[in-house]
Amino acid sequence: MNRVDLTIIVFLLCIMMLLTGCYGQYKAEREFWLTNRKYERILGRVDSTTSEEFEELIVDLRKLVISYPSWPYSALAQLRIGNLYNIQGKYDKALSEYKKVIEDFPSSTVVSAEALFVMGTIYQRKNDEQTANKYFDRVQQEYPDTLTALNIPLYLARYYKSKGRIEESNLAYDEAIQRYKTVINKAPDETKAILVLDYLVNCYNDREKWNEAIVSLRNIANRHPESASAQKALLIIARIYETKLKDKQKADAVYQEIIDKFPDTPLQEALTDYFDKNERGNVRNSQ
Amino acid sequence: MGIKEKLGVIGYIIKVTFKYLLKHPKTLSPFVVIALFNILSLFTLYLAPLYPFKRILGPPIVRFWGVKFLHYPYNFILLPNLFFKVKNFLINPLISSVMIAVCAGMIYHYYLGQEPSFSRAFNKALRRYVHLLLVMGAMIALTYLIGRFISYVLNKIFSDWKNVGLLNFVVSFFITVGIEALFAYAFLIIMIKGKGILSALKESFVFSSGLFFITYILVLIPRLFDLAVGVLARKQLYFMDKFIPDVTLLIIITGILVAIFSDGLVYSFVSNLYILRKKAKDSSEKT
Repeated sequence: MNRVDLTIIVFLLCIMMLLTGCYGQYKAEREFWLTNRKYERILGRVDSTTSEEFEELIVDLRKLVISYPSWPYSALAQLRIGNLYNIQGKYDKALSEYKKVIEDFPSSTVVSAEALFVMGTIYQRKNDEQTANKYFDRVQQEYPDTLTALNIPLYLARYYKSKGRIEESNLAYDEAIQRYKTVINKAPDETKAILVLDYLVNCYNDREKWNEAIVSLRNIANRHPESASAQKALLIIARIYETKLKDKQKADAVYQEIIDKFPDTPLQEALTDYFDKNERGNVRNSQ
Repeated sequence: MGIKEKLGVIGYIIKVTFKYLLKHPKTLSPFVVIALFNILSLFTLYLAPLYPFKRILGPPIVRFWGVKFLHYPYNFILLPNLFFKVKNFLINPLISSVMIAVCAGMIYHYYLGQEPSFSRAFNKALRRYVHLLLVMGAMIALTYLIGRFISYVLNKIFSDWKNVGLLNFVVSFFITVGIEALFAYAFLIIMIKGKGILSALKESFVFSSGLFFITYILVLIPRLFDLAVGVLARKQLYFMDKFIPDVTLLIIITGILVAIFSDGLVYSFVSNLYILRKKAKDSSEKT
């Protein structure tokens, strides 16, 4: 190999290495990942984190937001700046950072909904429930399809319960249940409905109303018998029978119902295993 | 030949090879060329998430692995896999096959009493290119098929054992060394005797079988350095988490640099062994 060939190869390598320096969005992804890792590590040890460490991370996140203003994850970076102030109890600074999320990233609906929601919780902490509720209402009106908005009824019910305001709490739970049922019945096959099913069950779970939960879930399963929500509803019913009501016979009947009604379910194998183990257990017991 | 004698031969070949390489370090230059091509392909793959490379490499990555592998840090999870595919199925047959022959040719020049010359050996290797390429292709195909078979068998036998991956890695390594020991002489035979692929493979197998233990150990010793890098590469996810995902590049580059010496030593050892053995045989026939 002569020198010319070697020079060409080295030249090509140099060009490639130079190219690695101008990598716009990829660079943003990389910086976001690195700051995100720092962020998660700080969340894992909030008490031992110094204010300098918080500040350093806030600077990193701010650099990201300024450098890549139109990049979708910049909204999340801005939200995290607010979160870092919030964690430190610097509520006013946090509020102003959350406000920037809503003003600067209006198209990032999920992040904006989250920012409004956290602003509401900050006002709750400041004992200004009126303002807090305004923010919660805004989330539900402006971003009704986000999970943050859907979580608010359950959140409020739990909030009242934690404050010992039982009547308000019960009312909030009932409202939440109605809301969740409407969402599920509207589009029982959508991912959102399947996620909301968890919120619905939590409403019953918090008050240990297992029989009501079963009735409610059975209604969903009967109303949309072939939907993904029905499958999940039946599974939850079976679990309630098995773990909460300790009625193994009824639990098995519902598991069997899932196997019969949903032959293609990914749960099929696990459920068949479950019955095989039961059978082996029964044989051992009879011996 | 007893084990003591065999070890004596191994020691002698190692000594002769090191002496030769110290005197003619340029014999390793073919492996530097391979390393340059490897680094070039590594950087091309590394730049896959960026334009203009994304235009060409993006669609197959999205098609076979998913769009997330065009984003940080997932691109680093895929990078070793992509790189080893390009190395094994493109660079090794197209480039390494010739360069191994060039190295063997340079060593042969030395035994002819000439100054080892890259360009002369390269010109000769180019004329035998198809045979060299086919030998390398056969070696890769056999290694791949046996590797798949071993993996299948081990996964069947030790399906419940969590270290089956490590076992597969170690067993595959030792078998790959064995296959390389069988094929290693073929490049040299094609180069110095001008034989075709079939007779070169036949002679290589016969010669290697006669001295299998010696050849195996001579291939194994340098390949242990590759094994060390392979162990590092297996811990890629750990290093990505402990440091930063970009550390993957460093691990692969380390492997490429180590391969300059390991490949260089393997083919220098076997070339020296073959040529010295032939010389000894020829002189004993004459006397």
